[in-house]
Amino acid sequence: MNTENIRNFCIIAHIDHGKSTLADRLLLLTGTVSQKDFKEQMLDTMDIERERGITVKASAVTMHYTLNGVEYMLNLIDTPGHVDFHYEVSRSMAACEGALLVVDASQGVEAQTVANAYLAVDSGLEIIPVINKIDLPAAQPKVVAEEIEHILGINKNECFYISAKSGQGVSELLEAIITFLPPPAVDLTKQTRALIFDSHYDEYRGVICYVRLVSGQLNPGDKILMMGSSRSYQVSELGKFTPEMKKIDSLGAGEVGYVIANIRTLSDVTIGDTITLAKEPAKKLLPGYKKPLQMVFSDFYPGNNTDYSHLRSAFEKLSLNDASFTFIPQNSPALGFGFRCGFLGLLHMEIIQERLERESNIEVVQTAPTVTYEVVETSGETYRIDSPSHMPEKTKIAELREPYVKLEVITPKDAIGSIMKLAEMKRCQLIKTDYISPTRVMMEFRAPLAEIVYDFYDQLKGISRGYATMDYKFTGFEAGDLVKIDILVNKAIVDALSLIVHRSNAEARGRKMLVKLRKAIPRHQFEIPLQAAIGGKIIARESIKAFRKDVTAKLYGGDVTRKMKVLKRQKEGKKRMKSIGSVQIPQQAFMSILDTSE
Amino acid sequence: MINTNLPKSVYIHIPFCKSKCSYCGFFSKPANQYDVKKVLNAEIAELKKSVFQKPAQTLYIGGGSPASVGCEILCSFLSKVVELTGAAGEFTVEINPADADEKLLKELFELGVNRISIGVQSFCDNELAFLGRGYSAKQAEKIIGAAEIIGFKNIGIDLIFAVPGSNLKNWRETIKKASRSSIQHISAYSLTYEKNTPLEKTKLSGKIKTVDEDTDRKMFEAAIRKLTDAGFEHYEISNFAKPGFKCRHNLTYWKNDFYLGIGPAAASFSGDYRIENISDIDKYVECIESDREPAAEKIKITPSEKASQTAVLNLRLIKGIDLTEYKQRTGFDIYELFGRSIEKNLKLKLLQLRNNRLSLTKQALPIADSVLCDFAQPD
Repeated sequence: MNTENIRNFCIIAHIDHGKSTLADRLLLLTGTVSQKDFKEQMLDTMDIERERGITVKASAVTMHYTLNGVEYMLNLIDTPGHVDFHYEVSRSMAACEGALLVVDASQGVEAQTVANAYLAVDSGLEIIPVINKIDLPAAQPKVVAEEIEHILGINKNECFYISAKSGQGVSELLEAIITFLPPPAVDLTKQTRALIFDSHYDEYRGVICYVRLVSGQLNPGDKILMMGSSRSYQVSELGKFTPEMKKIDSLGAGEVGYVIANIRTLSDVTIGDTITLAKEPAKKLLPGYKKPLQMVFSDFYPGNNTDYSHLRSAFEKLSLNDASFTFIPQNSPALGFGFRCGFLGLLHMEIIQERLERESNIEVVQTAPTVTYEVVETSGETYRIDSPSHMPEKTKIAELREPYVKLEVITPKDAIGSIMKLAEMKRCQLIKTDYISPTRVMMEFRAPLAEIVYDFYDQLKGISRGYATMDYKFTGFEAGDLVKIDILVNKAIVDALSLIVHRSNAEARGRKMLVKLRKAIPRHQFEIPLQAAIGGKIIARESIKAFRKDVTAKLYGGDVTRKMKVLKRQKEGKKRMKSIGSVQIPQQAFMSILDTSE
Repeated sequence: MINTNLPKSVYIHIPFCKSKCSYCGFFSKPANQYDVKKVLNAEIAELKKSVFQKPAQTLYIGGGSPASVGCEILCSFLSKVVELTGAAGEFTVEINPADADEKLLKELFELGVNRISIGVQSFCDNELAFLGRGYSAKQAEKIIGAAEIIGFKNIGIDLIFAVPGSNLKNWRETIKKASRSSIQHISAYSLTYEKNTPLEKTKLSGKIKTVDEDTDRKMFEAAIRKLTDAGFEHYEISNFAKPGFKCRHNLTYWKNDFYLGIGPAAASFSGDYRIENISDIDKYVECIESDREPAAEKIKITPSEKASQTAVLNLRLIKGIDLTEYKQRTGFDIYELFGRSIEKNLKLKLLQLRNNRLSLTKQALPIADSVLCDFAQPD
């Protein structure tokens, strides 16, 4: 096909603003899927995504549409919209020339709308603003159009008004995609270069790479080279998504499709990498390639219904379909052998946890999610640590740095006060406040990632009655007055409970943790002292009193069977907890200390 | 002929009471709702068909309140029982002060009953009222006095402590009253809030203030101290006896020896099986009359189960487990099954090993269950 007649575009939208419904509409309208074969939200493939209404893995669909006698190829690239998958979104956008920016007419512009819109602008995409759900009684399309103009500088007169659900306005939009969005730029470079903007693992066929051909051509049988990872493969199959996979004989410049090349695992493929031909490789990688950075860490230890090797197998299985989640063997004197897991964000972490439970039926003991810190030793050596237990002695540390992010919150103005309070508690610095409409505000903060990495989002939702939204982007490591709190249970340090915190928070945080621990650990036959310490100095104390009476008054013949059952349960209850020395700690205790709510 | 595999202890349950006490978790029903004679005849029939060593070494008549069926019926029943069991070495009848009088005690004495267990519970009238006992402290004293005069040499009483509203001072006085010369055996129990009893409901409703854990413990420790000082041997967690007056029937339970239980809800242990009889009185009678075993539950005890049960029960005795005897009875070396638990509890000074006996230490007694649970199943 003539590149002039190709349109590569994505749909960007906040959760529930109608991206999937619009995609469905386009599939139907272009005849790509017949009414008979149609299923709602066709492009969402995994169960979890269906339930949460989010797309975790991008898909790409090739549609055909004839306008004024000319046949056009429209490639819809479905991007992950969530803040955790920032890099993936940017690579999907690099495969496009245009974007449909969809905003719910009753909700207005939200944080992720903004974040992704800016990404699209930065990627040089032509944007068509689309106001959706105009059929809702609460719809205020004109107000929303104003918001779009105010925040993104897009002329409000360029907005399209649709209802993806009913189909109203969608054919006009389809035409606009053809008339307003540019075709792919012609790249006359001789060498073949294809951008890998996504990948998926299929049990039968191995890794499937989603590619956008930038220059040259790909054919089945080609020997290819991944330029960033330096790995070589041979193309066994080439095709397009319609939305099912359909084999084709060649992919040309400007086109979007998939490549199968006997690639065994997802970790062999890096999103953003460039595929070129081994016999005549391109000189330079396509721009924008970056190895993804894990932002949130948590240690997972096998719970009592499983062991280390089962956990390992489960993680290996999960990572087949998710290369951005990492796991490295970890050992804790308190909890034994487990894994240090890295995630792109909290949502990513939750999804992995859910999948562990659901797909592998595994219980885990999960410890504090932490972030990566940068240590500068007095010797000048600089390195990063993933866990408080890797922190060197205080005397060796010249500087401790923590990751900072640019945090954007969009909220109704009545929550500003509470959000300011929350931000203050979390050491966030307000950079600016912008009214995006008479009732809604965008607040930008400079925030330590550690402070928002666990429950900031939940709290934000709580204080704004669910209306506030947020987005964050890593900006760099900055020095901070950080200290490590050690928790001692019965006079022994339980390293799994250690945390790195800002000194200003340390005492309060240490105390809070001890109170939570005291409530979570059951009474024992002896008194259990709980202590929080920084560098050997105790900063807080609590104590769990021993139980004073635990004896059955009567145990005669008829009581034996019943009493043995009760005693057995008592013994099993003890077994279910992790033994740290002579103290039994329930798994719940490890999690309860993370709960930073009041 | 003495066959060591047959039960030597027989327990007979009289499932009747005049009224139910607020704390009682035992099985009993009002006597006037049933054809008592029919039920007791069924029990005789069950006894006739049962296998046990004759004469029985111990015979224990419990309930409910045996006396609630009336002196004539009770004594006629007991004489039939004795015909079948022979003259037992220890023949106990439980007595509720509200249902007994001198006449009854005399007749029992003549029948050969040589041990009386009086369910006194308390010498405080308000505590007795709270427990719903139906008699005054004075009445209780009267019965004890009568038993002594009639000639009973082996008199035991039950006491309950940590009753809401009680305190350490009046408990000490109760113990003092109990430690008189005519009483040879005292069972002292902390008030237990059994499931589904009126007492538990009252507690859950928040209407009463239960005695706090510390006071409960202090009362327990005071009982041990004072009764020991008064010449009683603390031989089981809740049981105290003057030399020569330990309750041999209950020792059968704590040694995990075999016993036979007769009547609705009664329990038996044959070594291989633990049996619990049907609780429903009418169904029980029906079973017996149609010549069926009145068992509601018959559980086979595996060797390892038996080993666990033996350990737990033996540890209820203050002198604990004789390790050699344990191996003989269960076939197991106790360390084989419970080595880790034993080490752990020795270290925590909750168990002690002396002269080849493993027993609970003094400080372990108030929290004994937390140690015993370690023996509920092999490590």
